Amino acid sequence: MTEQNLLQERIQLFHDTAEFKKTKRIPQISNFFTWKILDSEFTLSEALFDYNKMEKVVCDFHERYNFDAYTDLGTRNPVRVTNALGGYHYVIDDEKEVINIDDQVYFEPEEYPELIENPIKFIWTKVLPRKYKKLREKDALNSFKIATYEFLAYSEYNQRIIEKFVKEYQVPTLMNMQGGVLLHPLEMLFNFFRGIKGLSLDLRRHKSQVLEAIAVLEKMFVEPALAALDNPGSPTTVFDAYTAFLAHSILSPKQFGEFYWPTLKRIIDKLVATGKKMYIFSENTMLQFYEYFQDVPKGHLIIHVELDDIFEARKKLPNICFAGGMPADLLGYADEQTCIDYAKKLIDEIGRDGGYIFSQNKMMSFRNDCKRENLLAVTNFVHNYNG
Amino acid sequence: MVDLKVLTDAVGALDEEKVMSLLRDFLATNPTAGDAQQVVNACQQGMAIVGDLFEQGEYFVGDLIFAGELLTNAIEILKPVIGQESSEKIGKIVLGTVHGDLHDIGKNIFRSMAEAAGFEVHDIGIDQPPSAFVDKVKEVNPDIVGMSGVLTLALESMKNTVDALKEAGIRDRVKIIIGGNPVTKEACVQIGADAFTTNAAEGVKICQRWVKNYD
Repeated sequence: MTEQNLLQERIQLFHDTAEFKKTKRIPQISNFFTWKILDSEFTLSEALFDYNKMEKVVCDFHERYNFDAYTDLGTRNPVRVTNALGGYHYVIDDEKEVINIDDQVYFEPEEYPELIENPIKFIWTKVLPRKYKKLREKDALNSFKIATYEFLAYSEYNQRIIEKFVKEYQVPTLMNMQGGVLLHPLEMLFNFFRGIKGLSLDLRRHKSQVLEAIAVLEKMFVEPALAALDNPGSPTTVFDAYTAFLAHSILSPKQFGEFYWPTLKRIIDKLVATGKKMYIFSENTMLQFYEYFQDVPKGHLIIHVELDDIFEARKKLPNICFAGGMPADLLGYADEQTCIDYAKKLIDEIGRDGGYIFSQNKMMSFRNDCKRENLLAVTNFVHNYNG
Repeated sequence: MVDLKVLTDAVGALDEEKVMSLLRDFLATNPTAGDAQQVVNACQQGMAIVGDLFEQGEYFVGDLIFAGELLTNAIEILKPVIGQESSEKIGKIVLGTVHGDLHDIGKNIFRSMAEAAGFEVHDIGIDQPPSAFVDKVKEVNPDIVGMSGVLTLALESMKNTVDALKEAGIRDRVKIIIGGNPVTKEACVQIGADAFTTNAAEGVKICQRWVKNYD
């Protein structure tokens, strides 16, 4: 087999799996984030502030474990860019081996009308200066220049690492980050603007304004990404679009129907109309909303579940391809055989007829999330097991 | 005097407008501290309804966050008339998010509900090393220690905290409950805690059972 065939084979394997076709093996996605730095010779700071070191981390990681695709190639935490603007949202602690990210609250509920009136102006003149303190200082322009250079360096690393994985390792990119990210407007409010507590209060106190904000943010950010789905997909990318569920964790099923589902439904309808696929990482649980997803046609959604019981998820939503399932609890604390037994159970019970991508349940970030010998044993087993 | 049952139900229904309107009307009657304490109790009973509805799957996390805010605002409005008089506490809890973890939403929800249930809660904050828990336990002599965390590394910090309490010779003086996304039955055993929960309302009920059994 030529190297080009390996790239195509991997992409085909993911597509067939998402379309519930029986495959000769189960594809594996790495859901490892900062754990891979802890598995290297570098500290978190060393790797996060030096793209050459980060490149070595992700390449060594691939050469050691040989996943079919990666949720992160060292680009999730662009600390150099945000620090250049005085953001400092990533709190890196090399001693405790942890990155924490602050809850982000950058406007008050009284300001919803301004956001609704002109979201771009509001973001540039209100949100960003509050988020990045250097934009409020005298030499803001210079800080902005430095941040632009940092952003270009970050983009250059991103391009370089993707190219290396595609050409050298024959590993496709999991998602199209340029135009393929379809973040729900409620996620923007939750993650970037109002925080968990702020949005929880807004849903009751300022319901109509939250709905209006969703509508204008959808027009501004989601609609162009939906239009991009009319273009042909990238030949080196597995899935056409990507999103994450985080804000759903504060919603009741009724609120999900009011605040979340209408936009999500428009996204899903577009995916179906254009024959495209979207990968969703669902933090916390999502099965409380399963009824909304029952009628989604097979082959368009891949949901990576974190805390949901993936066996129950398969029963409740036989139309959705699931990813995840391998518990960090086992990878971090159990022995190799226990991990392999669980991996076998996952494949036997939910992977035999397609519709299941092997991966870790958590975004693997901390030293005790995994032991190297367990990961080697499991990745090797899954690669060779035919079910 | 305000209709206490109506007030309790309004808190349970998370009807902020009605709760605040009832409280403002109550304050306009120049109430005594005793009356005010009854009103506080009625609000706290409303929080118990919120906890029950959460356990029944009627309310979700955003509702609990809202409920905590509603109760805080209600107590704030009543503060001038509550005076020094306060209801008898059913127990004492030292609460904190463990070392390495900066999350506080779950901890704060638990604190609101525990206070509403009649506990005196000493919240030592986020990212607290084992020594901070040990020092606070020595200082206030609680019935219960509550440890919260969202990150999986919190499990290790929880174990270190339990070990530090053992080393200080005060582990057996307290019951320990751990809470947050990563906690499981297995983790609870490994850590050496007495109970675990991923549900603040259930956690408060466990604490209530513990202090009841002490009496």
